[in-house]
Amino acid sequence: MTDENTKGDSVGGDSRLIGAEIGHLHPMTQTVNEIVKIFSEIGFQVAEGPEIETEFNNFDALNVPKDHTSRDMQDTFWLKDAGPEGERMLPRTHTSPVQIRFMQSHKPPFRIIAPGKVYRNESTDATHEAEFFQVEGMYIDKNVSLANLKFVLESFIKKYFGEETEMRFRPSYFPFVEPGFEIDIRWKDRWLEVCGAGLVRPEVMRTGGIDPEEWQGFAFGIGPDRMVMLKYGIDDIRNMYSGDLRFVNQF
Amino acid sequence: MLISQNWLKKYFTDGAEPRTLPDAKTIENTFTMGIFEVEGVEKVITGTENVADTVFDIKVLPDRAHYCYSHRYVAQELGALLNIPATLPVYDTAKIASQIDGSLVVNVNVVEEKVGEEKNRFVCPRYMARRVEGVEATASPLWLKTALEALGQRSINVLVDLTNYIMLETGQPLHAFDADKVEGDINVRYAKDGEIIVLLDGTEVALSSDILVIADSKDALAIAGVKGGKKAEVTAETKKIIIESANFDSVSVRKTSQKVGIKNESSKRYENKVTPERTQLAMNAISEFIATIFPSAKFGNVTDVYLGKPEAKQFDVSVKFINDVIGLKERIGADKIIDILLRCDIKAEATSDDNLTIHVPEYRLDLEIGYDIVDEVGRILNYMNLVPVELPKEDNRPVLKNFYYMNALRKVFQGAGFSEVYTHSLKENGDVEILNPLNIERGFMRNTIGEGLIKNLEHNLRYVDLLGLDAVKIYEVGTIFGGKVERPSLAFGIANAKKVKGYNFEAEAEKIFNQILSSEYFAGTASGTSLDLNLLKSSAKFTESNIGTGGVNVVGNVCEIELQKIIDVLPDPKSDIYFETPKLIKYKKYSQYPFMVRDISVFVPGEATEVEAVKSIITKHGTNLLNSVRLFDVYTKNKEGEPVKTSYALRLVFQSNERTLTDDEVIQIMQNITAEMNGMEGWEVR
Repeated sequence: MTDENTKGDSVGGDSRLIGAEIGHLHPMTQTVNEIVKIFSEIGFQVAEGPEIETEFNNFDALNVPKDHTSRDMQDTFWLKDAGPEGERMLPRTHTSPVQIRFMQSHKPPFRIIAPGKVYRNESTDATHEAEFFQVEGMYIDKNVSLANLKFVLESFIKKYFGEETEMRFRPSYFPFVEPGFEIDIRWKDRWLEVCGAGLVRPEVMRTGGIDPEEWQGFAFGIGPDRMVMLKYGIDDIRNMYSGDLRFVNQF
Repeated sequence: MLISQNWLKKYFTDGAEPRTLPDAKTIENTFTMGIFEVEGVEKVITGTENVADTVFDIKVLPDRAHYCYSHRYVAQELGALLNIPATLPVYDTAKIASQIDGSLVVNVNVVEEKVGEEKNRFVCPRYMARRVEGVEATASPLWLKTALEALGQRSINVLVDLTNYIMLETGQPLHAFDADKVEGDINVRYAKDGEIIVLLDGTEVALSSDILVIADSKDALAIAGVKGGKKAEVTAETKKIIIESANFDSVSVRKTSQKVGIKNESSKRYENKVTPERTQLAMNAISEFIATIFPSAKFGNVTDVYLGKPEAKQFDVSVKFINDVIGLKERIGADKIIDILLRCDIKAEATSDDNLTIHVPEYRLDLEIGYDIVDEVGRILNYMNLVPVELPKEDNRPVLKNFYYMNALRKVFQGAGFSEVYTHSLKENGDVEILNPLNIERGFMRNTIGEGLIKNLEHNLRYVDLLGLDAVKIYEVGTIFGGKVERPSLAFGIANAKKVKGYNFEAEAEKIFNQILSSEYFAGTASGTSLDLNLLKSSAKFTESNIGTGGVNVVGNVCEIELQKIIDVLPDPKSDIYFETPKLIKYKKYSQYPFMVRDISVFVPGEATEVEAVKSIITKHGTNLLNSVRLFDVYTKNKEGEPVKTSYALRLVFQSNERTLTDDEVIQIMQNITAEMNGMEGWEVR
């Protein structure tokens, strides 16, 4: 007889020699779902948007004007063909256009968490991929404050990385928020950025059809690739999208 | 932007009381937590006198780039954060009044351009020029040389060095022309198509009519805001100069800089907008430095063509708004806010109980709305001190259908023993083409996942022994892009390591479809909807490919499902699906070296209870070269009259992380294992 299908048993690992055939979930799926779960516990719902976006939604609506140096912050791929109304199209450089789409189609208050793939025209190496993931978050309500934002991100980081995680909030700049922050965590001897955030600018709200006199909001973006890599000690981002089972089957 | 610590100190030693700046580490931390990330700190020693300095590489972001590409305003910010006020130098022009008769004629001929919906704006809002005689392009004094060299700048001559120094001090680019080489007036105009300019470095650039130049009556002397030309270059013979302190429109400079392919310290500052008010500061500064270095220098009138003077800005913000938006539990009053803003060089005036009128300093182009004031107040208070405030409770949480069912399918495939992969969406072919791809292999957005999975099956097939698999079974959930629409897709694929008799992939797929239909996420729904085997089958596309290498006949099969068709007929889910939080494993980097496979089978007395004993002998002798052990066959011989014995067949995989293994070392290991096994009572390696 031949036994059930077996799994290669790594020496010194758990000692299951004959095991039932089990599948493996990609660590990105695991991480995105873990992030979603943490935010769902404080009322955030999942949202999504297309990977191919208009230039307007990806940049203009988010207060990144044409011919402005802030557009240089993100290297962009452009599609050869224009969109239905002649507008330039691109594989989105960030998940932030989901903010615009959600605001335009929903009435506040709301809290969303939107994972998805993004694209940057960057040469690939151990820490850069031309396609990777982001998780966008947004909260619009009355009386939203920076203290709320700090609460949400601080509790998220503690839940994901552990209660004892040291973190810092430092001023930064993203065109669609004011003030803007970056959140670093202490990892070994270094500070590593894991999240960007800020209060949604009034003009961005207006583009989304929301009255900024009545409502405030915050938005944030998390880089799950880096979170996966830190958590499991992965030193090359290209592993994530290689489809190599020597990588995937470790999870 | 490189910032010198010695240079910063100058802003804190002037005035009535010298103030001591903290050490470099504290300065670095203050920058990082209060305004700019510090990307590097370097200790440098420069000049003939070996002056030690510390240079901070600060990451100036676009919102503050219009004023912080300067030591002056970085010092102002540092002083605000440390609450040690910086003294910003005031340049005194009284003592260098005009000594040359007659004014320089400056014609700003091209003044405005309509940009989109915007109002007309000036491409050259301000042009300021001044003639100076009795100077020499000698070597720079030591202090100037040292200051520039600390920041990695090469000293050229005192006149050029001063223009650079003033730019690094004030953020305002300056240019010096040799006045004797300028023929006639100074003209700010668009270039003629095909007009040639020879730049300072000798390169020739063919200009076009959308490029702004500074010209004399005959030739272009400089590309406005970007680069000077050879014609009026300051050289060793120079005795008279014309100093330019001008303002050019950010978009115009950006376009020109991109077009001519020159990006430098000057273009970078103009691209980020400089207030036209600052030309005066820089002109005064350079005049004062020249007067000090060349006491007999004679100065002409300052010609100032100022077309685009910005209005002084002010706006109102309420004390309540600032407190509410920061979310301060301990409220702060108008007095405290006024005090904080004053540290930032922003004058605020309490115009009613709750209202502040903000008077924006002329160099701050970023302050426009209440949120900008929140930023200034918040960072001075330090966000690390902010007490977090919980969100109000929210129970109404709709579930996103696509997200739910994609996870439901992942659960089914996980249960069916598939590994989930993520492959690239940028592929070598597809319907949606990228205009500026990284390379030709990634020039399109994929229109299928399945095609990628075939390649992936082939790749992974090489490692089945290493992975301990009889078959590669993979799937991916993702987006595909066809024509003008993108849609979700799911593809799964199987490749058997060895040919399996009577294997039928479509029958396998049907088994999986049935697992989907009977799974807890779909079972309750399938009956009430039109999701059934027929819909699954009709949404599926099958592909078969020969993926064997080296004459081996192996096929890879892939099935791709049009996901939206399936999801559309399913009901709205009520709660999300979660996966178990993965236990914290440490990922092991896999070896890049080839592996070797050896099989061993051994008879052991008794029923099949000795697996661990067999395994422990193997791991004992396996050394760190043993990558994995896999039991692939067990049978127990139970013949009457004979003792019961069990055969174990195991596959051993050897691999090194550092080198390619030799046959000999693996043979030795196998001999050691065999010897110990054969030495056991009743054991027999076959």
